[in-house]
Formats: sequence, structure tokens, C-alpha cells
Amino acid sequence: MDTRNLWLGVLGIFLGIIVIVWSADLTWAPAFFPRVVSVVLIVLGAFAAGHQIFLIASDAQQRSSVFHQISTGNWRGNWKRELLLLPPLVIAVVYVYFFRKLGFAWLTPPLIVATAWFLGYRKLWVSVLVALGFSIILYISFRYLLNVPIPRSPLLGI
Amino acid sequence: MQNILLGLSELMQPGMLFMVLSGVLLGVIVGAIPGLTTNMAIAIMVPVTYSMSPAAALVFLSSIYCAGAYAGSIASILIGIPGTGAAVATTIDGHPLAKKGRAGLAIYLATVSSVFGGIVSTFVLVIAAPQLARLAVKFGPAEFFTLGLFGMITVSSMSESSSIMRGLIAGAFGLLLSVVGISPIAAAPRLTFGLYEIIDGFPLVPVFIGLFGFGQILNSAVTETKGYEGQVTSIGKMWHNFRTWLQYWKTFLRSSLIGTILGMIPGPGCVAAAFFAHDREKRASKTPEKFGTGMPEGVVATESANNAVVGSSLVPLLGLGVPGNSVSALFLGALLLHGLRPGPSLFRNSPEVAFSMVLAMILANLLMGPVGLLVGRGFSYFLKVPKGLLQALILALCAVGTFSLRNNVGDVYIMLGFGVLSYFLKKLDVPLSPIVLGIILGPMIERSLHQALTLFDGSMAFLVTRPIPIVLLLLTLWSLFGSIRQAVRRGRGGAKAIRKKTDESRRRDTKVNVADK
Repeated sequence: MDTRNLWLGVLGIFLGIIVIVWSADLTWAPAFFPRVVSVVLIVLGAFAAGHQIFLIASDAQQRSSVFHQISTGNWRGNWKRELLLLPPLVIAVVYVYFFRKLGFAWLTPPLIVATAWFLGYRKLWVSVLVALGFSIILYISFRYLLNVPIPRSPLLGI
Repeated sequence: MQNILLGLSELMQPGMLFMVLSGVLLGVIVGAIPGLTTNMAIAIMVPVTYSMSPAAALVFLSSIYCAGAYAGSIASILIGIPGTGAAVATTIDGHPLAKKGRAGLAIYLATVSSVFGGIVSTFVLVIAAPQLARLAVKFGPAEFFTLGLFGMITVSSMSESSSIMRGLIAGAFGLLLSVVGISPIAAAPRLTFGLYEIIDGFPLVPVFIGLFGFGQILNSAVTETKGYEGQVTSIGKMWHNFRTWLQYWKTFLRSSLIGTILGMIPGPGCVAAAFFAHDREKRASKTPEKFGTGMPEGVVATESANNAVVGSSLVPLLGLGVPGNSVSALFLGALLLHGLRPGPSLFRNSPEVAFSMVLAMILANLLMGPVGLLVGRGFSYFLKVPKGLLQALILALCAVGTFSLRNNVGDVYIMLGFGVLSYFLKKLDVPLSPIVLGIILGPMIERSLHQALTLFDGSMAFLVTRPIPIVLLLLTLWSLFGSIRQAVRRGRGGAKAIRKKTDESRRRDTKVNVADK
């Protein structure tokens, strides 16, 4: 059973209502367009969710499937897979947080090695060599060829 | 003519020719590797072009676009997995042809068809875009409002999602994202939550890099890596006589025409054009039953059509300043980054930039032939690059590229945020192109709506009293209802199939029960 439209519809309604509430403090001119778009989003969301509910209600097989999913707790779906998102995301956030403080040159090779490791590439030495080579190429390309200032580290000044 | 010569003299400089060659090389490699998309390559490369001249930047990006649209066919033919979305339809006949031991012929036909399909549509771009730009001078707020609405609704309703409703919701969501920042009407900040990074709205390039670059990395973190099981080991003879291709000239003409026309309409894009051309060719054939088993006509049709979309898809952007698909939206971002405004002013104020870009597309199409055939020969080497390592390198490039735009760490956080959003949107099968278009077209739609309402004393009468808005409104309704009708038909077909399947399983269960008794 495909319930994506139901979830998306509910999210659309929720988002539309939030924007309408938030735009309450604004004067008419800046609030007009966000409110119009929010109303459109709420209407579309209501239609998507309503249509999905109608489809489920009018089909006995889908109805029993929904009851089965609710009774077994399967309606929440399998979100364990999403935990795999965390390593690259956390690595990227840490990288960005220390980017200015530690500089590009000291941070980029560990970022590449760690991300490659979590994305399934386990040949550490190859990955270290590639990371070093790629970081040097990026550094030279941005700093000298493209004249883009990228953060330097206080350590050794690179 | 003078402007074309101006563009040509700009393009003939050695630095520019190098840009075309590197763009083609990068486009072919990115297109050929499944999982890397042309959108991703262009989004990541936009910050790299920051220090280049506007002409060099656009020449480089347009070369990537041309070559990327073609190179997806290499993976489609050799491993049965499309390298890019544009090459999905090529898999239908290309891979079976390769399995028959004629992979070389399939790549040759795909290459020549792509080259000529691309050139035909670029000529249409050269002719149509300046004419459209002249027409655009007559456009007022009412016309721009309906044009923006037309682009938004057409792209949303024809997007790659399996549900039209998801496309429309994505479009509205994109418009909602566009209202963040200072209002174009009253100069009051809206929904910024005190964050100065988004006071001017979401910065376009970090958003694009997040949606198409980092989002893709997160997707591969979750998706299991599978081997390329259907890989063809023997490519066979790759260089053929030109007459081998010439015997399919009718197929080429029909498909290029389909691709060029569909490319100019906001919405359908390469995928729809390729499938439409394949279907049209199947109907025109005396042996339609052989399509799908390795018909050379199928390869010629799909590749001519999807590459014919490339040039013509830039017609609305360069002529009117309104992007018709996600790639042209990325081009709009690049133009704005270099201080250029697409539309009539581009041809008036910077003709050398506009024409050098268009002429570079012709050159890129010619170059991608030999480059593509060489890459096709060494394709197996690209498949050996481990995906995890490749994605890690792309992440580094995404982060540094985003930072380098404004030397702002906040932009990199925005990029990461949109990457996560992109992952969850993909999970819900929400298409990204309407969101991108919503972010881009939102300010224009809002500004022109306010101006039109002021000019017409708060009345919406401008929608039905002026000729261009009437035509655009009718076209919008036509495309919307066309998509709804198609979705209803598809739904009925799907429901029938489900009912049939259920009946069959019930019948099977009954038989088993009877047998048990």
C-alpha cells in the first residue's frame, strides 16, 4: 500500500498553516504572496491526503492492509536505514564547524577518508593517498588558479 | 549576424576552446557513470566558474550539459543501467543490441544521433531565442505573471514523479521557499528567524548543490551498492561507415523534431522526449514487435530526441528569462552569479556571452562524438572507481565549492540542510525540478502579481483582458488537464491490473483450498 501521498498531504497542510501563522505579524503587502501560496499548498495537501484516504476506504483489501499495519505497528515504516545517513552527515557538519578554525588543508583529507569509510570503501591506504592527492589539487585549483580564498590553518600557514 | 561573429571570435580564443574540451570531457565522464548526474555536475561546477569570465563560465557549463545528456547512453547500452535520466529509454533497445554482440554499433548510432540531434536543436536555439527576446520586450507584469504560472504548473504537472499531485505540491513548496528573505515589494524581512545568511532568501547555488550533490551522496549512503550484472564484455566494432547511420535518417528527423519541440515547452524534458520518440518510431515501424529486442531505430530515436531537447530547453531561458527545467534553472543561477540577467537584456547588453555560449554548444556536440567513442571503449575503467571513494571526493568538492562562493560557512550549512531535504523528498517520490523552479520563479511571480494588481486596481481582470495572458492561461489549463487525464488513465490501468492480480491470486487460493480438501 502506497501512503506517500497521505504523508505528503499532511506535511503540506501543516507547512501551509505554519506559514500563515508566522505571517500574521507582517503587513499586507509582504504577507499576501506567502499566504496565497500557503492556501494553495493546504488545498493541494488536503486533496492528496483526502484522495489517498478515499482510496483506502473504498478498497476492502487496502482497508484490511491498513488495519493490519496499524495493529502490528508497521505503519511507522522501517526508519533504521535512515541511521546510515548519520555518519556522512555528522562528518560533514564537524568539517564545516572546524573549517575556519583548522583550515582547509588539515581537515579535507580526514573528511574524505572518513566519508569513504562510512560509504563502504575500506581500503584505508588507497583512500588516504587519494584524499591527500585530491586535497592538494583542490587547494591549488581554488587558491592559485581560481583565486578563491579558502581558509588557512594557523598551523604551518596552509 | 554581427552578434554571431562576435560570439564566434570570443569562442575561438584558446582558453575558450580549452573550456569546451574540458566541459565535454567532464560531461561525458559524469554522464557515463551511473549515479552521477548532469544536474549534479553543473551545480557543483557553478562555484568553480566564479572567477572565470561570464562567457568562459557559460561555455564550460553548456559543454557539460551537451556531453552529459549524450553520455548516459554509454552506460545504458553497455550495462543496461542508464547513466543519466535522459538515457532511460535508450536502455530499451540499446542494451539488447549490445547483448547481441553489437554494442559498438549501438554506441556508434547513439553517438552520431546525439551529435546531430544536439546540433539541430542548437540551431533552433540560435534562431528562436533572439526572436523570443524581441517579443519579450512587449511583456508587462501581467504577461510575466502568467508566464511564470505557466512554467510552474507545466513543470509540476509533468514532472518525473509517478503522481501529478506530488509534482504540484513540490511546486507550491518551492514557491514557499522563495518567500524567505526580504520581500520584493515592501522590503520587509520574512521568515528569516533572525538568520542573516538567508536575509536575501536562500542562496541559489548552495541550494542546488545541496539538492543535487549532497542529496545524492546521502542516497548512496543508504542504498546498497550492487554490481553491474548485465555488463557487456565485448564491445565489438565501434567505428562504422557514415552510411550505416544515414539509413536511419527518417527516424533521426522525426525524433529530433519531437525533441526540439518538447524541449521548448517547460516541463517534459529529455526523458519524456526520448520515450515519446521511441513510441512514435515503434508505431511508424512495420515490425513494432521487434522494438525492445535490440532495434537500431530505437537507439537512434531516443538519442536524437533527448539531445535535441538540450539546445531548445534553453530557448525560454535565454529568450524570456524563464527556465523551463532544472538544468536551465541552474544556468539561471550561473548567469545571476556572473551579474547577467537572461532575457532580452542578455542579447542586447552581452551578445558575445549569449552567442559564444550557443556556438560552444555546437562545438561541444561535435567534440563529444570522438570523446564519447573513446570513453565508450574505456568505459569499464570508470566502473572500477569505487563508489564510496568517489562520493567522498564529491562531498569535499560540494563543501569547498559552496564555501568559496561568499566565504560563508552558513552557506555550507544551507547546502547540507537541502541535501537532507533532498533525501527525504526522494524517499517520498517528490520531484526536485518543481522545487528548484519554484525557488527561481517565485520572486518574479510575486513581483509581477503585485505590479499587475496595482496597475489593474486590485482586479485579476488582466488574466482575461490581455491577449498574451489569455493564451498562456489556456496553455496552462490545457497542460494541467492533459496531465490529469493521463494520470486518471494510468490510475485506471493500474487499478485494473491490481484487480486482475487479486482475482488471479484468489482463484489460485480457491484451487489450493479445493485440492487440500
